[in-house]
Amino acid sequence: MATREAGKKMIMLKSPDGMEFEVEEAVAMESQTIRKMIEDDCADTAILIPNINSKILSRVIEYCNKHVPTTGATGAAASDTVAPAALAEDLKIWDAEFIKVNRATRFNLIQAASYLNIKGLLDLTSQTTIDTISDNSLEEIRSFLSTKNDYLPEEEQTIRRENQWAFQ
Amino acid sequence: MSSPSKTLMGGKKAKVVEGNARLLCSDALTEVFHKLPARTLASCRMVCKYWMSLLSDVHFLHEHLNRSQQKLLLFANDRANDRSLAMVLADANGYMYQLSRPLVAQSLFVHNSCNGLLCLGDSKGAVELLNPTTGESVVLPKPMYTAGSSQFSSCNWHCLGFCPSTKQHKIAHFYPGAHAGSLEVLCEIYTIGDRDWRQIGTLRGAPIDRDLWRALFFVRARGKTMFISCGWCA
Repeated sequence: MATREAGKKMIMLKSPDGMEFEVEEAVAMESQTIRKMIEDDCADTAILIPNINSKILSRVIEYCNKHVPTTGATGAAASDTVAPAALAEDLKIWDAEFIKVNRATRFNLIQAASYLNIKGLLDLTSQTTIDTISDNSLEEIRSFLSTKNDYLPEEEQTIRRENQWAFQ
Repeated sequence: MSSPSKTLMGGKKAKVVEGNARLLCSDALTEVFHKLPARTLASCRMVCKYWMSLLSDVHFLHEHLNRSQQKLLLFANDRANDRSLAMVLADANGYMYQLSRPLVAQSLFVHNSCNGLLCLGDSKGAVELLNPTTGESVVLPKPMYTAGSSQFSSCNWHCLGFCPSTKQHKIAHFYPGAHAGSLEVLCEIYTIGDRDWRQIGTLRGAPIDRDLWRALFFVRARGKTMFISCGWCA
């Protein structure tokens, strides 16, 4: 039914490693960054997405494809067939499956979601990191994010004293 | 899709860190920080200097304050301990915690609030600025020009405001002129981060309703009209 609608505008997205992805404009506009470019008429031929390689970009597009509102021009008809609750449940399962990736990929996805400004994807991909930071010791946080403690012991003491309320 | 990128996190971890390879760029890390409550962020400052620099960035703090769903529920002097201040905060998940900190002076009161920051004062004229969600505070330097007694009175008051054009918080101090009973009100302004107060002029006319002045105050100084908007707590 959706395919019957003629004149669907397509947008070409290019990754820095030379891959091109043709996506529907509505799908690309899940990204607020791209939406702005399109609205400002800065997207006549192809949009180069810097810093996001083709592997990550294809996953981002996969996410947007799934999450683009299915309503379209005849929105009411679409929601008649599938109950919204079931649809949401289906998306949840799909999301859970989607983020079953290794840590490096997940960090890359956070970065992509942040740059492309896709709120849902950002929420989804950053949740593990948020949980890790919230629930773990400083040493565990450092190891999760491969960061090294570069404070001198006395500097650490000072900061701990100044932020004492947070450690109560 | 799950290519084994174990090398990134594997045995040579120290080497990777040395190579300054950050797993998350500052933008992405900042996005994550925005989703965390202030209390967690305060402990995150301990992680490393890089995190500290991101977390103390003025723009970050401002944005976090804007997005924050943290609510200040109660603000009171701790009666059991006269020199400490008690505050109860709640975050978006309804989790409440109490913040108690030693006071610089006794018997504090709130002059006003703006953008979630509290401007506190005591009966001796000392002024302190407090961010209740991070627990950070700044004690303002003593005003330069305050003549004679700086007792808090109906025509001697402080007011915290935000200047949208420079994105700076400023505190205005109004105080009576040297001659008792004169209709002059003097004004000096302190910008957060500056070393000293700046005297900016004299307002003529009766010291009218203080709250009216606070809500909207225009200060004519050196030919320029400056406007500072003030936020209010109910």
